[in-house]
Amino acid sequence: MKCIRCGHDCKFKERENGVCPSCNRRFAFEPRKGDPVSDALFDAAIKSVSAEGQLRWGVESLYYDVCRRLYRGKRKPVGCLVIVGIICAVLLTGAVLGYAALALGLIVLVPLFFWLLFVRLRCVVWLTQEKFNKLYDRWLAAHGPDKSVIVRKPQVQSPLAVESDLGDYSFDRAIICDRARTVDLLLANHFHFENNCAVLSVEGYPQGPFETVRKMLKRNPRLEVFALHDASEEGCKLAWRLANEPDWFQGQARVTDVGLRPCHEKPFRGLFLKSETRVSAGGGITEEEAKWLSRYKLELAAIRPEQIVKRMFRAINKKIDAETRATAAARFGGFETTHDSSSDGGSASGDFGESGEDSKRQFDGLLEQDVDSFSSDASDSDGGADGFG
Amino acid sequence: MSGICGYVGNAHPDVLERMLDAIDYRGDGKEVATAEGVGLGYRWWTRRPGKSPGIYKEGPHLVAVAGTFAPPLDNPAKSLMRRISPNIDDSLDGAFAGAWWDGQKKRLTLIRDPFGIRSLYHANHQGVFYFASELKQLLAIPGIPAEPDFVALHKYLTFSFVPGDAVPIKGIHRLLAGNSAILEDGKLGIALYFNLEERIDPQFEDQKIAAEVIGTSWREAVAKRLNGESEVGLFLSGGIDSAGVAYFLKRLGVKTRAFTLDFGERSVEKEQAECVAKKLEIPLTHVRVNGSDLSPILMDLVWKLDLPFGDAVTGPQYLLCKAAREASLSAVFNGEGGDQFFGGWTNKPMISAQLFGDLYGEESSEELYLRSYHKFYGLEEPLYSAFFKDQVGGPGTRRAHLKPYLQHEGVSTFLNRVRLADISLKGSQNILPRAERISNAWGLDARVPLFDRALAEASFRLPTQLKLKGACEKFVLKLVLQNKLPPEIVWRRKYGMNVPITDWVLGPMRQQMGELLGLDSLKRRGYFKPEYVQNLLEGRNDPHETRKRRIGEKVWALAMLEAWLRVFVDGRGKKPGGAT
Repeated sequence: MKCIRCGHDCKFKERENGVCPSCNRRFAFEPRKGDPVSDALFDAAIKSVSAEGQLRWGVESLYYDVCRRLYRGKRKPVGCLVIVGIICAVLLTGAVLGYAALALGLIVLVPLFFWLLFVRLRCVVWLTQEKFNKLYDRWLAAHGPDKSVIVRKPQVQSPLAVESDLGDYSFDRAIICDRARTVDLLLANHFHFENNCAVLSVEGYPQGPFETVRKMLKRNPRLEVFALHDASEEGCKLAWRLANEPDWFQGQARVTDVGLRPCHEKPFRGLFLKSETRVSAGGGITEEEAKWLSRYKLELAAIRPEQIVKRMFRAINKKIDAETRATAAARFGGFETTHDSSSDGGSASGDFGESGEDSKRQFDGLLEQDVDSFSSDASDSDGGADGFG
Repeated sequence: MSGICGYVGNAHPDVLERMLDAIDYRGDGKEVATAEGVGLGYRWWTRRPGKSPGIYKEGPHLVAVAGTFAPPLDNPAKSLMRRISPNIDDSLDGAFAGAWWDGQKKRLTLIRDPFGIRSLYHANHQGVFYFASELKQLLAIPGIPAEPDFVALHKYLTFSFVPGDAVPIKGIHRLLAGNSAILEDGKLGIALYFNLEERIDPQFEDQKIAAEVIGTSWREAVAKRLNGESEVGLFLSGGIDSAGVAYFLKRLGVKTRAFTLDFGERSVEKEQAECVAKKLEIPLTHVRVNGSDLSPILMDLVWKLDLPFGDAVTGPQYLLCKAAREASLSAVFNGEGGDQFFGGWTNKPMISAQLFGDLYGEESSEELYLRSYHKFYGLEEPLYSAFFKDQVGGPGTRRAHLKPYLQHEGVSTFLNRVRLADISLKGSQNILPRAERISNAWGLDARVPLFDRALAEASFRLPTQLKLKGACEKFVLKLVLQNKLPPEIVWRRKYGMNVPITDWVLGPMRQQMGELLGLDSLKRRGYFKPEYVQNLLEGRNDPHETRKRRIGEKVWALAMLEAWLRVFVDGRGKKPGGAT
């Protein structure tokens, strides 16, 4: 195993005390003693989520990157699966022809075949969050925190206490998230700054500027709103909620759903969580989606931070392009003209939920779904799921 | 157009000829005047209205002025003495740089216009004080060193221009906009004579009054910059600022010909420019620009720009000016300044950063402002070689350029503090000097009516909500124009002019970029890490960056710097091959 600090490659006997014989620094993990990960795997995962140190990231992203690496490792025996399958077929032929020894072999190999098949088809994570947390604590003890991990600073006062005029202005667009940690990811990476964008969580984070920013958003009748969320019950209802609640954007702005939904699930197998509740259709969720959400959840953190940021840029640019085209094609009336949300219904159904007419009808006009944001290029090398799956 | 130079001390008068010859594209006439221990030089286009017809001499006084006042006077040099002595006239405005030698008091006074359209540099060499309109004139002085100033280059890589009084040649300084300098008894004293102050006027709470006052000032600002030309040019982008200038030129009955950039299918505002021209019945010329058009002009552009300017818009602007010159025009108006004075889109990122910026506790307003230039701030580690880092020597003083504005205690609103920073840095040290030099490259006078003293002062009397109303930018300008131009021009949401520079530098300009920034060139210069630059040249973005345009912007900024180093450090500012 290689030491990630000095690069020295040592045998297990040389590092039985958990210390590198070359630099005398501690290893965080020892796969030979049953740890599911090595220091090198963790290090590679950190480099991946931080885009080689150029992006700020949250520990949840690291969790999923480690899970992804473990899943990739377990998927490797696909070749074995094929070989075992062929041997089973040969043995089966032998057994049919009455060879007892072959029948015995069959007893061993057929369960092996099905176990490998199970590995291949397993959708949920291989490492629980609790186990990961323990591993992460050990990593911190051995290596310390990475400088690009997001650490919130305690908020002492609202910026408005210093700047009296800030509340008079507004934003071109808003991204509303279902989780505070997604807000952290975007803000810590200056997404708001690069896109003149408010970033809030639906539950009120960040607390300091939250109410001020929400009032500021009301000052722009041409606001663009994006909902960014997990594929969970709460997440999949987010866009609908934003479009229909008076405290948010009812009657003011169309909401574009750019979050994860069940229709995006395919590239993320192996990273699902088990759902703990039975989900019913309605509030922006179709019957088909409800079925999936009753079995699984998929967190946005399963996507690398770099990809989330890139997809959000893409979603915003699509909106800008659409508006530029619309401006060129049509003449609008003036600053106070409010977007007519009933004139131009977006499709909410995407590839999912041809049933659930109730929800679909409510989507029309108020909401649109940017189904491309995470799924369209998932097969590209740089796609929505890291070329994963 | 036009330029001046001079010295105080024991210099050979021939040096004036050398300094004037270095800017032979600034006019067909030249004159030198000397007295004991002093010499002045002046180059100008004869037969153009509003220019000084030569160096003004009156008793012991010698005065040389490049440029024009607003409103214009027949002989700026003659009137300069009276307008700046004993005190500088409060209404002094225009695009000028002047030098006045008082032989009685043995005193030299230098002065630049309030916003810095005209430039003035100075240096001490072997006991002689020299000054000139362009850097290349100072480099024409025999023996003056042309060593790069690495701290200034470091700033260029953040701002895309060099801010402050330093220039990227050691020992040469510039007089900042709105400043005057007095050299007496060998000592140089510099004083600010113009700065903007926030004086919010309650009567402007009434939008109608505000729109009337700003509309009147805007019209007068355009009128003050007319100089008797039979026809003027206008760079019409399709945005509200240049559209407004077009409207007022039309109202003033000025024969105008408009020019707009055409990037083919990558054009952003072509239709809007056409719409304005049609509405105002102004002839419009589309200037088609592609990457292949820029390669042949690159070295001339770099030479004429005089200082390194790293924004990709300079190439297309050069071709716009060429088209205006080919149409036999001598003056061109533009709409620069609307964003800076009236709350353009550049405020928005700073507002956003101010609201959310304190959550993770690592970046000040100044740092975020530096980031907004989208060049190499924060990328020093991957870009800078060990040698370059050593030469820079530390984090530098980039933030210090912003503090006087962003932490200005006399300005009550955040928006106006950001405005001040934008006007003083981006406006006075980037947009205006480069516009003047690009226009001058084609013998054109740049007229920038939104950088007008009275209009600027009026803008700082407005409540900030009339600049940025909600998310609506430049609201008061829209009120001024709302019944005068089509609503889709006035109320359109602005996305900025995007020069398709990435397509160009990775496409038709690839060979030239490869020569300027290839391994051989980088190794010879030794400033940058080749792997970082190669990544950009191969079209790969920084990992945290998604916008393709940033690749081209960075490649262009680095290429312009390398070209500038070749012309001004290696070549001491002499006319390079490829220059016209």
